[in-house]
Amino acid sequence: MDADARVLKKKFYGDTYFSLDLHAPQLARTAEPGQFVMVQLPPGTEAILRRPMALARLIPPDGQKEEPEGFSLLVKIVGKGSGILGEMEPGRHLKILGPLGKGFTLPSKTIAREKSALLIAGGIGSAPLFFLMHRLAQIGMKVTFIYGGRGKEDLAGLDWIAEDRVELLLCTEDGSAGYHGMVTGLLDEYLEQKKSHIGPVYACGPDIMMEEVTKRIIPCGLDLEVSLEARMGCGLGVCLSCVVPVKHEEGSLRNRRICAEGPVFKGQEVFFNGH
Amino acid sequence: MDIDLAVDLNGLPLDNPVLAASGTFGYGLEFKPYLDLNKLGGFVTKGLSLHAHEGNPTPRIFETASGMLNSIGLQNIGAECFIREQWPELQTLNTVVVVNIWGRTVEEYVRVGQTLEAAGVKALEVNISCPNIKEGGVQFGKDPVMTHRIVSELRKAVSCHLMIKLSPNVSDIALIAKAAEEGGADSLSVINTLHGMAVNVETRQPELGSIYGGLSGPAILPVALYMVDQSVRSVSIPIIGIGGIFRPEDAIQFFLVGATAVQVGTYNFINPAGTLEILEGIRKFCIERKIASIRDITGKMEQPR
Repeated sequence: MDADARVLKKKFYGDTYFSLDLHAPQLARTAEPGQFVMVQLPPGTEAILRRPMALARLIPPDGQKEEPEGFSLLVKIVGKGSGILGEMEPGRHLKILGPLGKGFTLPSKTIAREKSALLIAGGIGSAPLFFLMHRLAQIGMKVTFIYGGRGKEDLAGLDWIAEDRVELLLCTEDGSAGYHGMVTGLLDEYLEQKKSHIGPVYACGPDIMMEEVTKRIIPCGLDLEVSLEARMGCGLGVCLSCVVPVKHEEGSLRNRRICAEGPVFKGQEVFFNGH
Repeated sequence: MDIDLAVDLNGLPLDNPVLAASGTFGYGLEFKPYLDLNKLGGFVTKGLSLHAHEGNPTPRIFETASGMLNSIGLQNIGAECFIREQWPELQTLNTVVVVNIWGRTVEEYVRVGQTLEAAGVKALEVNISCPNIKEGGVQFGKDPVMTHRIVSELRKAVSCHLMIKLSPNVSDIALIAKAAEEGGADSLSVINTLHGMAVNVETRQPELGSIYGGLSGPAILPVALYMVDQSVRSVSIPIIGIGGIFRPEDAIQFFLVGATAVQVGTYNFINPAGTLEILEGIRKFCIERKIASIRDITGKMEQPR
């Protein structure tokens, strides 16, 4: 559906990250973690294409209603489109197409009870994982959330982590918050101590991070899902811009559309830069 | 006031003059959640080759000022898979489904055309102008002799409607249009994308994986209008105008220049219901100005005073 969503709230985390709360009850009702929306920029800009953005969170109901009134986006300002979105003020409207794509696979009840989920985020890759974290906590699963960035300014949205079932492990390359080093260093230590407790693993971040995560998680025999990102023209599966080569059963590579067959893929099917 | 929006493409009647353009509308059925396909004048499917084709390396898209570059490279499922998986449902629609085709050789064009006609396809759009295929493709569309050859070979092989999609990347489009008409084309769709490229100044790499791409969107509308004007002056078969149509007024300009119908392309990416909104806008335009039939404004651009 193409919703006309009102901006409810904007919150900046430092200079380059912000969240936008949008009023879109119908869209929020059917949204699943891992899905995304196509955001149309307000009229009057020479940037014509919609921007794909992960659904980062459902806005919790205000107590009188049972269903969420909308959702949040977590945005990093990287160019023209995200810059324009950063200037949106409450009360303005945005056309939002979605929810789109295939989201994360949720674990069975048994696994949710017996194991804990491991979520690994690199920078703005945290966006879809916040939504997943909330959903997993809702079904009663323990969650470990590894969240890495260059510095502490890259760790936006931490105020969304309130659940007591979530173990938050921060890491920064410059040592300004949490573990001093890369996500993979922290992951190696975590795997050494807790491997037997881990159920499904979910990752979203830069390709290089996800490639390194895949190399560590798959040999452990754990289920891994990665959420991919690409430039998109339509988000509808028709422009064929966002394809990614995915390993086919016979070992050959086939193009799959991130917007339609993804954005979530199994860790073992994704092909990162020749690996 | 009831506006008569019906047009005739040389024996192929359309309920209205708005079609969705190839490469921006999938195989059509993807748009069912967003609009009633039967309300369109028609739509043109993604270009088919004889066998499935995986297309070009990524990135395949880059946004530019009021436009976008693409270098998809004609990724498609192949004619036979299309006939098996898409055509049965497409055939039941109450709108004109134009199937776009391309090939690497004249023989491949002919075989794809024959295969589709045998399955019941009533109209083919022939892409002799894609900038993203190195072999064949645009080379055919740049040369009037090759254009004539490919159209006349297809004309001999199939009896369905032949719409030839022309390239703007030529020195004189009127010559190519004429060659296609003489080869036996029923109509011409004008234009495909313009050659283009973009470079990232930080990485010094091209923004597209295959360096060059095709430019589309509002940025190319004036070029497309000019090309339609030149084609209309050169041939007597109907012209379908394509290029940067985002608003009803954009389509009206094409009609005034002499296009019988239009195709909406890039706008489908931004607004999946956009074709029908443009159609409604055209209807409103006519009502407000008491234009009884869309055909009354075809080619009715006035001379400058």
